[in-house]
Parts: sequence; C-alpha cells; structure tokens
Amino acid sequence: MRRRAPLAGALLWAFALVYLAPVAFMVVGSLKPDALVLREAGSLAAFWPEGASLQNFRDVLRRVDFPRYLLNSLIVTGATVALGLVVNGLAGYALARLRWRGRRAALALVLALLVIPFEAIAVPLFYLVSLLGWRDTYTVQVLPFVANAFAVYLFYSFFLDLPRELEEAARVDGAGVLRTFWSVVLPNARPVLATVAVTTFLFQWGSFLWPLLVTTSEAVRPLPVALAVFQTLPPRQWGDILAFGVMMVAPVVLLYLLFQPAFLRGARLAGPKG
Amino acid sequence: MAGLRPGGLRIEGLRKVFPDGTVGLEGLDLTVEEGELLVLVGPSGCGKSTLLRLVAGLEAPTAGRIRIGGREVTGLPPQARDVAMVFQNYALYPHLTVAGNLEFPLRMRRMPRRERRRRVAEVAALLGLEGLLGRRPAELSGGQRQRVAMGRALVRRPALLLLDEPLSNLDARLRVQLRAELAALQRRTGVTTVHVTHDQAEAMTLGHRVAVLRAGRLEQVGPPEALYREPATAFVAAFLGSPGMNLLPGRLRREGGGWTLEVAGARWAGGEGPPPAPEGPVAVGVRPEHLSPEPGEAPQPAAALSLAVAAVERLGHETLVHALPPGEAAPAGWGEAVRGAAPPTVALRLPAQARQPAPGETVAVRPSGPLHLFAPAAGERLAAVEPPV
Repeated sequence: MRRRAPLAGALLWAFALVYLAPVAFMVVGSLKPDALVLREAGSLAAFWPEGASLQNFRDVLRRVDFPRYLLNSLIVTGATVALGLVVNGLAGYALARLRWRGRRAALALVLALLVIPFEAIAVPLFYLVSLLGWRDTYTVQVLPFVANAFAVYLFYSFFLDLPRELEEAARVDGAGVLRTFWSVVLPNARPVLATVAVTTFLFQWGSFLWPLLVTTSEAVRPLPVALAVFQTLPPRQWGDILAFGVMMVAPVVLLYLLFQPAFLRGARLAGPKG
Repeated sequence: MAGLRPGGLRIEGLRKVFPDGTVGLEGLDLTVEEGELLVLVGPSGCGKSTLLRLVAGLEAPTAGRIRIGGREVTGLPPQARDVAMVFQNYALYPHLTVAGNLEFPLRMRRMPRRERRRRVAEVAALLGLEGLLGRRPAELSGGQRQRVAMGRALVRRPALLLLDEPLSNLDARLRVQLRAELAALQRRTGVTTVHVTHDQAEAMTLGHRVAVLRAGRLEQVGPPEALYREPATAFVAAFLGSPGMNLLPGRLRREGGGWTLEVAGARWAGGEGPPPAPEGPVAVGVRPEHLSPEPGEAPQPAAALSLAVAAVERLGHETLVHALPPGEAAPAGWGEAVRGAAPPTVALRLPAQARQPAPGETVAVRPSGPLHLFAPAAGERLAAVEPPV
C-alpha cells in the first residue's frame, strides 16, 4: 500500500462527492413529496429522505406509458447489442485471420472511422434515412449503430492474440471457417464479447440526439427522449422527474452488477501479460 | 498384395515458397506406406513443420501433389483430407472438457450421439483418460494434455496422423516414457503416421523409417540403423547419434601400388590397389565409439591422432571426451553443407572403467571402426574404409 499525501486524499474525496452528489440527490428526491424537493434543493436536507414514499413512482406510471418506453429502449438496445456482436465479431475475425485482397486497406479505414464523432454525421445520416422512409421505426434506431469501428477494433486485437493453433486444430478436426468461428473462437472470446456488449449497451441506453431526431411517436420512443418530453409535461413535478430518472438508470446498474466479473476479466485481459 | 495397398501418403515434387520469398521446401518426393511410422527429423528451420502443414492443408503448396489414402488432396481444405494432427502445444480447446475435446472431431462429422459416446469411451480407455473426462485442459498436467491431444487425433480413426513435435514440451523423463507409449499406440492402432521432431534420439528410437531434412531438401530416407551405419551425406552422419559422427579434414593419396589416408597429422596406410575414392581432400567421418585411446605413453606411432582434451563428461555408464584436433577443425575448402554439419570438437566415447583423461591433457587415439569418406564440397558419401591396423 502506498501512502497518499493528505492533500491528494482530500482532493479525491472532493471529486467523489461531486460525482456522487447528483446521483444521491436523484435517488433521495425521487422518494420525497414533490413540494419538499424544490424547497430543500439548496440545502443538505436534499440528501435526507424525509417523508419517503413511492408515490412519485406511482405518479409516473399513471401519467405516462413508462413500460412502453422501457420496452422500446430494451428492444433497440438489445437488437443493437445482439446484431453488433455478430457483425463486429465477424468483421474483427476477418481482419485478424482471413487472407483477402484489400484487408490492410479495410483495417486502415476502420481505424480511421474511430476518430469521427457521431454528431458529425448525424445530419447527413438523418437525410439518408428520411429518403429511405425509415423515420419513426425501430430499424432506424438500430441499424446505423450495429457496425461499430471501436467494437471491430476490440474484436480484431483480441483475435490477433488468440493462439492460432486452436483454429488450425479445429480445421483439421473437421470444422469449416464459420464452424471454427462459432464452435472454437467465440467460446474463447467471452471477455471481449462482454466488453463489447456492455459498451454497446451503455451507448444505446443513453442515446439521445439520434432518437430525438428520428422518432416522433410514443410507440418507438426510447427512455432518454421520453424523459425529455416528460420534463415539459405540465404540471412540472420534480419528484416525478427524478423517479423517472431512477427507473431509467436501474437497468444499467443491474447490468453492471451482473457483468462485473466479466468486466474485471476483460480489464485484466486487456492489461499487461504475465 | 503388399506394395499395392492404396493407403499411405504420397508426396510428389512438393515445393513451397512463402510470400516473402523464403523457400520452405524445394521439390520434395516422399512416400509413407500404409501403417508405417515415418519420423521426419532435421534442425529447426529445415522445413519439417512446413511439410506437415502442407500435408494437413493448413498451407497451400507452390507446386507439387499430395495423395492420402490413394486420393488426391492437394487442393482440398483441411477438413476434407481425413488427417488428424497433434500440435506441439497440444491446442486443446480450453472451453471444453476432456470428453468434449475428444468428442469434437466426431461432432464435426455429425456422428450420432451414441456412436460418439462409444468412441470417446474407447479412446479414453486406450489412453488411460477415464478418470479425467470431466476436467478442463487447464486442470491437466503436461503428460495428461499430451494424451488428450493424442486421443483427440485418434478418436475418428484418420487415414493419416500428423505429429508436430508432440513430446518437446515435456520434461526429459516423461518424454522418454511417452515416446515408448507413442510407439506402442501406433503399433496397436496401425495408423499411418508422420512424426516431426528435431530430436535425433526420438527419430532413432521411434521410426520404422527416418527422413532427414535439411534446408528444404531430403538428405536421406531409410530405416534408422541404415542411416546410422551408412549415412548418405556428411550432414546425416553428424546429425544422427549423440554425439554425432566426428568430421575431420583428410586427404587421399596414391602411393606405390596402394594408397594412404592422412587425417589431421596422422597417416594411415590403406590397402593395395587404387584408392576407394578419387585422390585429394575428403571429409573423414568417424563415430565417437570408434575412436580408442592408444595404450601406453609416448612415443606414439604415426598412425595415432593426437588430440587436446577440452572437456570431459562423466555419464556414469560411459564417459564422453571432447577434444580438439591439431590444425583447423573445418577447413575453408569444405563446402557450406559440410562445414555447417561438422561438430566443433572431436568426441570420444569411453567405457566408464577406462582411464579418464583430464582437460588440457593430450591423448593419442586410433580408429577402431569404419571411416566414412565424404566429398568435401557437397558432403555426399564416397566410401567407407576399414580402420588401419
């Protein structure tokens, strides 16, 4: 154990408070009567759950079709994760292992795509999907995010490090290229699968700008957009808004708890060898 | 009908040039008979693993043809060749149990479940793996992993079994034990086998026939004792045996009605008649066990070779002496193939009871077994002569 300087320790605590305070505010506020939330917002009492009840949560469920938004988010995120694992996994495998003309150029292109932020292509993409008539569907929220340069890169570098003999043994044992990928490569790629699944999930679950642009109806609207709309609905009840936020964050926390071992394994795997 | 059997492996004019221009194999012909165990041996980088990978279909040849079990397989992918392979690091599937690993090749061939169970049980019994079927590769010792790899290769009764240095990751004691098991297993199953190794002792003890490979070319193929007794090249002579054959610079001369052989300062009278090979420089090979110290002290006869002892290794049942001859060990006139093969010192193999020379001492020795004469340029065998009396 290394001893930290007292100043550094104090700074770390300060940072931790800055990050945790809003979360604590949200959770505590969601349990309080609406009138109290605003009145106590400026004081430390904001972190004390006085008169705690689940009334705000009931109100949210009564005022809007929260299950619908939750389902929309689950469908969009789930489909993106599932399709993304297949597409990016195969792409990374092809780049790392198969020999084909243009492989190097394709790899360079994928790496170049890493530096382009989504916001830069949002408008041309919006124009494109409008032409295709895809607006206000699940498809338009899923398809543009299935192929992902970062995920391809993660798979690619993982497969490069996988012992080649495993695949050669599978080939000699009677498996073709796809069968080898499915039966031998993927089962040994769990750490990278988990990492890609989690990063994709987090990205899609919190995605706001794109669904705001392309969705108009409640039937396909995901949680972040629904929350933004909910904030504008009169009467503006801060306790309800905070309760909405808690319900939106809960699945992410659940996912983190479920995947924590895989997360750690992935981190160890990506770290220095030996 | 022996000799007409369609099985086995036929390789014709096999050539492999890698994309970077390196030549892995240059035009190689080799036949392995059905049921035979052929050991492919050579120093690292000689192309033996390349040859195995070409036969397995893991690499594509630049030219040449491969037939397995009477069927042309040159263009076929690995899964269509009916070969099995054991890799140097075993390449067991980490996510499957031992039973899962053994079953894998059968599952890939869509064998019914009951038949798979039966075969796995059979091969597990053959290799003594019954108690380990539920374990994963990470929970096995090196020797157990090796057995599982063998089992996975044998379980579907392939037309051809390829072994790529299967014993080199084991410690010495286990290696010797598994070497014997491997030979017994091959005899029992009768599967045509090509075993690649860089260990000449493995080649000598294991193979029905041994093929020595150097720089992408076959130097010699034959039964181990034939290779040991009559090496076709200076390279094979020096490579086989532990230590290998000594190579000394010599010269053949016609003299009167007969001939003489001069070796590193010693002069031996041959017989009457013409010399066994053309006059001039030769590389003289002699086995370490065929050099005996002269009894008694000086003065030494002209026929004795005097050597400066550099190192002495006592092995218990015998003693190895490494000594330096007078003059150059490998003269500049020798070709690359001969110079590269020649050991840097002259080795003597002495019985444990014999007087043990000390380092720094000079010993006089005289050949007591055949002398092999090789052409100094390319290293091909010219003749063998009996030792001078």
